[in-house]
Amino acid sequence: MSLWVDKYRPKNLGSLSYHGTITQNLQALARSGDFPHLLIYGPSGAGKKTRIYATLNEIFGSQVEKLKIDVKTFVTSSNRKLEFNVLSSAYHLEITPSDMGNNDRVVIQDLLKDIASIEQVDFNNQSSSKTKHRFKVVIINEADSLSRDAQAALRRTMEKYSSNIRLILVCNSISNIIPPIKSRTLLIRIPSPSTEEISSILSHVARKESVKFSSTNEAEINKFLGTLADNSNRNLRKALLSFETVAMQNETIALNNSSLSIINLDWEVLIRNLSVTIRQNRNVATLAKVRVTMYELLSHCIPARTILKTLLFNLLELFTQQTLIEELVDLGSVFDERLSLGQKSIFHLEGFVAKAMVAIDNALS
Amino acid sequence: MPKESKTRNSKNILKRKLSQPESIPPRRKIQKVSSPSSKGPKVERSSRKPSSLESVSDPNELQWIDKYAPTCSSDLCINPQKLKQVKEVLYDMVTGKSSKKLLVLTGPAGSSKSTSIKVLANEIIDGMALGRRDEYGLSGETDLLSSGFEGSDTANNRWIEYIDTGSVLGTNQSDQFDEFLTDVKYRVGPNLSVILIEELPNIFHYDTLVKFRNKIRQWIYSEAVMPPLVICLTEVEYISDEGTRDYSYNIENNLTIDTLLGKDIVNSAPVQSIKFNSIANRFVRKTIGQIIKQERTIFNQIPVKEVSTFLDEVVKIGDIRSIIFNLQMWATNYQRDQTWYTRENQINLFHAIGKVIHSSSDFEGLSKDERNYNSIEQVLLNYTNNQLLNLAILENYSIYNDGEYSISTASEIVDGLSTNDLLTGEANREYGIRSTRIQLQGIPASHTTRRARIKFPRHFKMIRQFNKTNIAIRSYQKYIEHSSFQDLNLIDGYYLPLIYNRRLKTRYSYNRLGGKFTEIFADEEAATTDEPETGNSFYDVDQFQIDITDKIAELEKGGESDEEGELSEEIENSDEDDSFGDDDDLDEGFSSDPELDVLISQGRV
Amino acid sequence: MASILMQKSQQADQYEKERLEHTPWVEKYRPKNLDDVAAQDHAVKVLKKTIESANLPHMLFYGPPGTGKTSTILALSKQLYGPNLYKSRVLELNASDERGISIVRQKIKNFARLTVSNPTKDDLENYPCPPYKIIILDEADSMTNDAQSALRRTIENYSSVTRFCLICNYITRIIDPLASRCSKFRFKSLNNDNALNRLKYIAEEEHINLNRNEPVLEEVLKISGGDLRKAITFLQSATKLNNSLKGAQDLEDEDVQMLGEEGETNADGTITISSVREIAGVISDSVINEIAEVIKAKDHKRIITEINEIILQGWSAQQVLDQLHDKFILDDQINSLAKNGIAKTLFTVDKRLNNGTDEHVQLLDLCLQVAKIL
Repeated sequence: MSLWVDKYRPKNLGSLSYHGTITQNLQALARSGDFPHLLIYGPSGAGKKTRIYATLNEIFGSQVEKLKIDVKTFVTSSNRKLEFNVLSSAYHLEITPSDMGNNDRVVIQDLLKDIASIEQVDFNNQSSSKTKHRFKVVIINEADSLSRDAQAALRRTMEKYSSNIRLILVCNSISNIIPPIKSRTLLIRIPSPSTEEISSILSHVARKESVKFSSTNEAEINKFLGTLADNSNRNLRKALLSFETVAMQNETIALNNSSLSIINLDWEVLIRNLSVTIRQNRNVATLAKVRVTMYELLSHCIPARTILKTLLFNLLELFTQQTLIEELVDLGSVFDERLSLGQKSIFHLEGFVAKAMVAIDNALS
Repeated sequence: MPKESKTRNSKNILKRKLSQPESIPPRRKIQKVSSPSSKGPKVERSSRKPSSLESVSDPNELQWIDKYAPTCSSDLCINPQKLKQVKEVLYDMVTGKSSKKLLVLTGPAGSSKSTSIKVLANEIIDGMALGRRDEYGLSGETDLLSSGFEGSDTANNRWIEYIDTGSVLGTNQSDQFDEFLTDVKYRVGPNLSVILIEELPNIFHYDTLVKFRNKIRQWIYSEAVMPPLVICLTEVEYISDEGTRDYSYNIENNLTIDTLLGKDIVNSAPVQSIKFNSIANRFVRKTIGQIIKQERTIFNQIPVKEVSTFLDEVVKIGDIRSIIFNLQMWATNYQRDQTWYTRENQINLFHAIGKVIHSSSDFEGLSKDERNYNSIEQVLLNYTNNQLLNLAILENYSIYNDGEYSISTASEIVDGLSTNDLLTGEANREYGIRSTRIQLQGIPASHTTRRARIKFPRHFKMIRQFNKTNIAIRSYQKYIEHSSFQDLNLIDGYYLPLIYNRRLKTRYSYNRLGGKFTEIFADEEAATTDEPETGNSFYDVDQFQIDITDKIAELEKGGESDEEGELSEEIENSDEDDSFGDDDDLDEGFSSDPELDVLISQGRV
Repeated sequence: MASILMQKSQQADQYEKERLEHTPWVEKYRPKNLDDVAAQDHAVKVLKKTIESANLPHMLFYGPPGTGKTSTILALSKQLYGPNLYKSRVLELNASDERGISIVRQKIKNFARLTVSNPTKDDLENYPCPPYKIIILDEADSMTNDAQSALRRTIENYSSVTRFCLICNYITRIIDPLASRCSKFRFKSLNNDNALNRLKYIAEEEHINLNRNEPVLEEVLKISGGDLRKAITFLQSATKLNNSLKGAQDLEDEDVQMLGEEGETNADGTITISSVREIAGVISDSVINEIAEVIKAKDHKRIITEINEIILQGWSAQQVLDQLHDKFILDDQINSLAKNGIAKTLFTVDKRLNNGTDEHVQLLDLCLQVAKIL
């Protein structure tokens, strides 16, 4: 009984349903049995990982889905033990550098060196057999969070081990990737699917799962699914999960959107309520109340940057004055930067709220 | 009476003597080892034979701290309630009435933790020995007063303290601690002693910490009769200077009972912990009063008014050891009209906050600017943990004038604190508090009474909760679903319970992944340790947690079954159900029948 | 037996072939001698003189990336020593590889100490073979100041037997005492003709199938901003992708029909401007124009929607910013005062993006601020 999001995940390139050109390119690479280092980027929930695994599946066969997780330990120069997880199959492995903290450079260098040397030996052994694949694939998740140091080191590694390692870097944006890496990889951009693409996937799932709607009118159903897609900010994963949630909560889904309240994420609701509070009560006491929620969100590992951004966009929806919108966004970007430069995010979150209250005060008076 | 105590404490005298030059008596004592040939753990059994230090123990040269060291529990400078509590626990441990094997006392420096234990150990065990003679207490054991103890030698201490000699002798500290605990294990029966651990091996070294915990585990789960073990821990918490990304809350920057022993030990049945607070002024004054009376030859030369002014200032320290040190230094070096600085860290966090928010009353009558300037100077000079201070200012600026001032002033304050957070070095110490003071002084104070109390920043609470969530999600990520952390936390964490609770008939329901959202409020006191988490352990009955446990068990068995539907049915410990009632706020969505069924099956409804 | 051996050697050949395939063209087409170096006439002229006299100073090469600094020193070394001696006489070090100065120093020490094989008669006839070794320190500006000061001593210690060549992008990041010990050579941005000729040469050598109707190579050069290395790499990536696409089409045609309708770009199997742009992560002009228009319309809600779409498309904010910069700064309809303000805003947002801020928020701020100025 797997989740719909897993159950209907395309396993090979042929069954991917959108971004035809990209699929075509990937298919071409897969056919040639080899590919250059890749840098795959795009918003979350756009299907980056699905495409990567589908490609690997095409090259290596379904063995790549037999995943196991290993805990590797690494002893840092300061003699501290660092544990991180490596997800691997016989043909590839997957790492997430944020697990490694400030030591990402050394850890990745070591790891790749290990893999490269092992692969080299393997290659020598099998040289008489006709295996096509002389390389191992290393997927690096969240590559944009790699330190500059690690990226610089990676650039050398890419050249050094180009004969037996293929890197696939995955990230949301390439802004933080240093140019040498960009120029040494094949960039593949995966945009979010469009609302229509998501709704068509949702309706496909609805058919397969015989989801019942309060009406059988196709247009109405599509409109409902479109709302669901928009609500997910075109994140396919989110859309599928929220759709399954709605379907589970209701025997028959009412198409008048009354069943949709449940799909709003708990933390997003908290932030939306914050924005309403900020609009209504702009005083010192409210600031203290806002702080409770801010700490609540932070304590639940919601990144401060996400909190700030979500709050900002919620506020923008509440107002129409052009100058106010300008000012709120400007404040948002100032405090967004402070989150990067400072140490304790609570100062900057509250700073934003306080300044936003003043801005709203000025705009409304 | 105090004079008689000198011999029994002569070892302590040595320690204190060595640490005398320091203004704050250090916790880590350098122990001179009497016989250089012996290495390894020193089982200190003070004054069994006359100490070589006897010669220096001229009462006039004694530090007051030793001279007036309490010999009986009524002399202890401590809240009698607290004393009673400790005494009861320790008594039950000594007499074997309770199953507790380890008592942990936590609290700030100089709150009489170890002194209480030492005094109580002697009183209780000696009392038992007497009782034994009167045919009370334990029976069937060799006479306490035989070979091991020569007569009823009351100078014999009934406690053994772990002394860390590793740093001196270069032996491996973790081994040394190991040996120590192995050696003292047999301090039962006629040799019965309380085992006191105040110094710790170098637990900042990871391996040593692991060994330390293992040893403690062995101790508390041992079947054998063990002597009572007491750990006195001065908790240290400070905010790391790491970047925002690193919410590290570990033993390196926060030495607390939790980071030292780990949750499993702290919450286990054979462990009892008692938290000490700073000693209240009246108890301090009582003890100090005694000393002044005894030392009247010195104090008679000082005007009474000066003494009382000094006392007013010095008791604020709250650390009894430090207070007595300061008192002695001041009194013996007294010169007229000399200003005396007690110690560097003489004002505590709450005073510092008060001075920043309300400005210091010491400068009444000066101009506004001067008052502001001096108040902040005072804080800068006397309070050093500026990271904590700035968080505390953020927590408390809104209480000024009961929060009745303009939002633009408030925004300037927060902006100042936010800017301050970007600064480094000296500026980082000053900018935030200065700008706060200057902004607040502009507000005409209409409320003269201060209604809202100053609160301690909840940063640590947040970090604790953060770590819990982090661990919960990471283990889910590791064992169940290898998606990205933020996907699991932000998206799946919310939807999955809604889906699974409908679809899967599991014994327990799934709750919000990573724990529910809990509002975090500030407390009025520095909560150095969590009270054993009561209502918060929502995970004990969470199906996600059970899935993870199952998966781990499965991995350990080496089984390869990937079937997700196989969810465990049985769980041994069902008395954890009590903590269930508190997560209804997330259950809102599923109050219809199937959920109700589950609830009924769990006996919750 | 023989057949196995044959097979083995075949495999070795194949391996070698594959290795060559993976050799970046940047390496493959590095200039073999100073005459091949594109467009650095001044530096080349001076350096040629030094070859004649075989007396080399310590050198500091600086200039933008991809202008031939490394190529020049490598070509120079080859011309000085010839292929036989080259390995034992030239050491290439990468500052960003092994950052610790102690490691760098150790390597230099070991290398300087290494006894050199005497040049053969043949070598002596063909090459100057000066009696010192060359140490190339690439990316010297990424070394810390401390490391640089330490390097200064090292240079002095070994100056009798070695010549150093420091390579960096920013001369201002090299400490004065170090810079003053070297003859400085500035490498200018390549002028288009020279670079284009080089690209054309490579395209011919590699039999690249360029779309004849478009100035593809010019576009490649444009998007790489005068960085020849970047340009060559882009060209290689595009070729690689194109070749596999072609291979795929030759193999099986029926599968392709399953794919979406968008597959028209590479239909004719040539490299086009748009395929090169996609590979370089460059946003198409129509998208940039659309953003510019929405900004000019000053409808904030529309700007919000537009930026949301851009982010969902996965474009990098940095790229949008760079392209908007070109768009607005070169726009004749905007007066210089406004341009001034726009440049300032671009600068601020660029700085913030460099601090790892949220792309969506920053990009939105940029657009709203520019709209305010216009």
